This record gives sequence, structure tokens and C-alpha cells, in this order.
Amino acid sequence: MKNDARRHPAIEAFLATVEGKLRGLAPEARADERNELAQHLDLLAAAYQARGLDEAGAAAAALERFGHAERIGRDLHRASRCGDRPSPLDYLRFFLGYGGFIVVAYLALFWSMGDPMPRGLPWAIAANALLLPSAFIYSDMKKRRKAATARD
Amino acid sequence: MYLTSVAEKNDAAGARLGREEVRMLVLHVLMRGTSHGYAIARAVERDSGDALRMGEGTLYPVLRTLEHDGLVTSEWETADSGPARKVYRMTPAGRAEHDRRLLDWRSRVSAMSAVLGLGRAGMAGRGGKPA
Repeated sequence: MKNDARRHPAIEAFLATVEGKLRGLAPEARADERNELAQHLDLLAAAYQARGLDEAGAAAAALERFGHAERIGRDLHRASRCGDRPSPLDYLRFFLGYGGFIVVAYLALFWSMGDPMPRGLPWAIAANALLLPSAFIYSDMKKRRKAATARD
Repeated sequence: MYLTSVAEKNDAAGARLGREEVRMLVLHVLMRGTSHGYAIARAVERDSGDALRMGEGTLYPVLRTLEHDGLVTSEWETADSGPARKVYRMTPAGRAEHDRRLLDWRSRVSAMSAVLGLGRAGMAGRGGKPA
């Protein structure tokens, strides 16, 4: 792989744009992504140069084959983040957020109707607020465990 | 300006090869053995006689998703000469997924061929002539 100083500026600019979209990733993961893309682009550009294009033409042709930098960065970020394992705090945040939303939504609905609240409703709201986010969390954990087992 | 226009053109060509197709092609190339991104793109191009081209950058999000789903694993491999390369390897779950997709693909192709009168079944049903 070429070192960064010897790479064509257009390829460097492309890599910088992709990297800019990966800001949410850990620095090592970001460096890994950048190195892998840089290696692919270097090989493509070298192949075009071997076919007779000059350095600038080869870089342009390689970038053409590669695709749109911002879109690749966005897709890569999304795909890399979906492998992250949520922490217990992430789950707690989701639980409280979703559960809270359900409670507020129900209360707002009944408040806007102006009717007195039926006797059993608070229990039904509480059950929904507890069960729905729990079901999502359980299904997410199950899916991740299955993927981890498949990986092993 | 030139770069923007060629990138957009390339995106349009890549769009023709959807993400699911790229996923299937990557799995198929990896069935033959470990490989890295550049080699996967070249294998698809070579085996299709240059008919299938993807925006090669779209390979990497697909590879990340395959890793996340436990269908492939990756590691940086250091060669005696040249730089380290990130190589991808199929997992047993990946092999099973490939076989399942291949079966789906075959049945879809044969159904389409029958409807369009392209396959043997379709041609025989119409006496070799379109209705």
C-alpha cells in the first residue's frame, strides 16, 4: 500500500470524505476502514496505470469504479454500527424512553378525549409500558446472541 | 466536476446490481476460499465476462453486514512481501446461507424463464414460439 504522502490527492480527498462519515466509530475501527479502502483504491489505480493511464487519469478511473464517497461512508457507518453490542445503559435508555413514550401517549389521548379514565386503564398502560420495550429488548438480545453463535 | 459526474454515473450502474445481489455474489466468491475486497470485485467482473459491475465501494458495507450477521469473518493477514490485507472467510452459517440463496435464485430464474419463454420448459410449452 502506498503511504498517504505518495497517494494522488483526489484519492486522499475521497478517503477523507469517507472517514468524515465514520466519526461515530472508534479510532482503530476508522483507521481499519480507511486502510482497507485505500488499499483497494491503490490497487485499482495501479491497474489503470498499468493499462497506460497517467496518475491523475488512473486515480479518476479508480474513483469512478468505487462510487460516491459520502454514500459509501454513510453506508459503512451504518453497517459497522449495527455490529456494536449495546451496553446495559443503552438498553435502560431505550426501556425508559419507549416506556415513557407509551405512558405519555396514553395519558395525552385520554386527556384530549376529556372522558374519565376507566378503572383498569392505569394497569393496562403500565403493562404496555413494561412489556413492549421488554419484548423489543429480548428480541434484539436474542438476535445478537444468534449472530454471535453463528460467528463462533 | 468531472469526478462528481463519473461518480454519479457509477452509482447509477451500481444501483442496477442491488445490495442483495452483491451479497449473494460476495458469498459465492467466498465459497471458493478466503479473499479480500479487491479480489472479490475482480472475481465477479471476470466470472461475469465484465457484464456485472458494482460500485466497488458498496462491497464494504455489504461485507460489514455479512460479518455482523455471522456469515463471514475477517482478519488482517501479513504477507512476506507487500502490505497487510484484510481477508474474509466464510463461516459455516455463511455456507448454509449461500446454499439457501442459491436454491432461491435457481427457482426464481427458472420461474422467470418459464414465464418469458426462455427456458426449455417455457419454450416446449409454446412450441418454441412466443404466444
